This record gives sequence, C-alpha cells and structure tokens, in this order.
Amino acid sequence: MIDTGTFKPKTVYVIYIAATPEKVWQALTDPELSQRYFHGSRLEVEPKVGGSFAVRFPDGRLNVRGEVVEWSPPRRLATTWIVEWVPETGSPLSRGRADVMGPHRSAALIFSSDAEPGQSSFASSVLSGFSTVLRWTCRSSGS
Amino acid sequence: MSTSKPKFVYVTYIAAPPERVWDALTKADISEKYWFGYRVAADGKAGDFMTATSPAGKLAHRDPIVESDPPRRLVYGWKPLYKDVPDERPSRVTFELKPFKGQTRLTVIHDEFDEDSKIFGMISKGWPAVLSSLKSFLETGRALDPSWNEEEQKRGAEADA
Repeated sequence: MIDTGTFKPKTVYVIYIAATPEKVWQALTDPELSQRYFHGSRLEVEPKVGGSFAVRFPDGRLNVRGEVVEWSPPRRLATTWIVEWVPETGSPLSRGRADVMGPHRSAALIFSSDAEPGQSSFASSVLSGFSTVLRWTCRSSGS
Repeated sequence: MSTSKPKFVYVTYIAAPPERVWDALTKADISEKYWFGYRVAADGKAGDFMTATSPAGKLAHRDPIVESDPPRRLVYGWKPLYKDVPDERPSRVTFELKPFKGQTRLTVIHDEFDEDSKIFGMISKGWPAVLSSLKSFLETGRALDPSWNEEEQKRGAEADA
C-alpha cells in the first residue's frame, strides 16, 4: 500500500477541458467511454480504495495493472501503475494520479506520475483524444 | 550540460492541419479569440519581432523572432514587459508542428531560464491554459472561458505541492 503523503510527481501534465468535472470523471472511470479516447484500450477501475485497476489492450490482454489508492469522485483518482508486458521483473512500481479541478462547466485535468519524464507524450496523446471525445459526448448528450 | 536550469515541455494533439495551428499562433486577430484577449503577432521573419498586446492595450512582449519556418517551426525570445514581473534574462520559446493525417502534434518547449527563475513557475501554469484553449478553439470554434482560470491554477499549484 502506498503512502500518498510521500507522492512526489516527476511528470505532470495539465489540460483544460470544456466539460464538467463529473463528465471528466465519468470518462476516466467508464470502460466503454475510455475505449473511445484511449486508442481502443479499456480502463477498468474498481470504485473503492484498495480496488483493482487495469488497462487492457483492445484485444483484452492486460497492459497495466494496479491498485486504487485514492477514490474521491469527482475530484481525485490515484492508482499504482505496473506495466505488465515489460520483460523480466516487470516495470518498477509507479504511481499515477488524476486530479479534476473546476466548479463550473470547464474542468482542469491534472495527470501526475512519479514515473520519469519521457512518457509524457503518451499522456498528451491520450488526454488530447480524451478532451475531444468528451466534447463529443457532451454535445451528443445535449449538455 | 547543466540539468538545474528549468525547462518546460508540453505536447498536445490538435484536430486541425499545421497551417491553421500556425496561423493561430502567429496572427493577432486569431490569438485574440483564444489567448484570453491577448493579440500576439509573430508572423514575421527571423530578425523581426513578436509582439503581444494585453486586452487593456498594453505592450506585454516585444521579443525577437529567432527562427520562422512556416508551418513547422517557430522560435522567439520571451521577456514579459508587464508590471510586477521579475527582471530576468530573456528565455526562449520553441513551437514544433508535426502533421499527421490532417492533424497536428504541437510541441512547445520553453527553456533558457535562470536557474532560480520565477517566470518559469508562471509560464508552467500559463501554457497549459493557453494551449488547451487553442485546441478547443481550433476544434470547436469556441475558446475556453478564462474566468475560472486563475483560481484553478492556484488550486492546481496546491495540489502539486
């Protein structure tokens, strides 16, 4: 179990999104919605501290697994992050956190990780797609 | 090479061709619509100046353009002229635009800061807001509302602390 008090992000990515924090939270935690911005991958989050967290490839294979460390809808989701397919002992345990800010119709999503920088293009790629999908779903749901 | 000098890197993917992203980054009439009212003109050649004017009409920047290769690469200096900004040596902003399938991968690199730069902290909060608004504007025609911006940036800073 991770002591979140010692969480020291090395990578931080911020994106502002024209959607409510609730919508952003939904996209982070709904597997069906995540597939539409995560290049076909699914995010699976068990909604409680200590619950399981997984990212699955489009074919269903496990990509990343972890544990939910913080669960505070619609504001903060923190998980551990172990990349399954890295050979040998697997990737070092890292931690990722998503903070959703914003009281009104626009949200700021702050994605931080204690993994070394260099994965940041991954974060920007996913989150750029994320904001596009969110806008689309907000529009189609009439909000 | 010194690693203590801060460097800001931000990547965002925009569903618009590089030419449109370039125009938005360099033409004041477009920047005004998403850059929270600032008119940013950077459509000159290397050796010309980038100028930025605040919504109140005050000159906020007059910095040399170092490189201009439309619609791929733009480099200019960065020395804010507005009040209450620490007097630091000019830093440097680099925009790289890479096309793919009619979309753009935009990378912004802001570096050449003093080691203990205060301005670095300011731009680290500022670019994500400006570039998110740019993305929204080019994709939907609507920029982001700046009214929540300042408060959210403060809260973001606290969350990171």
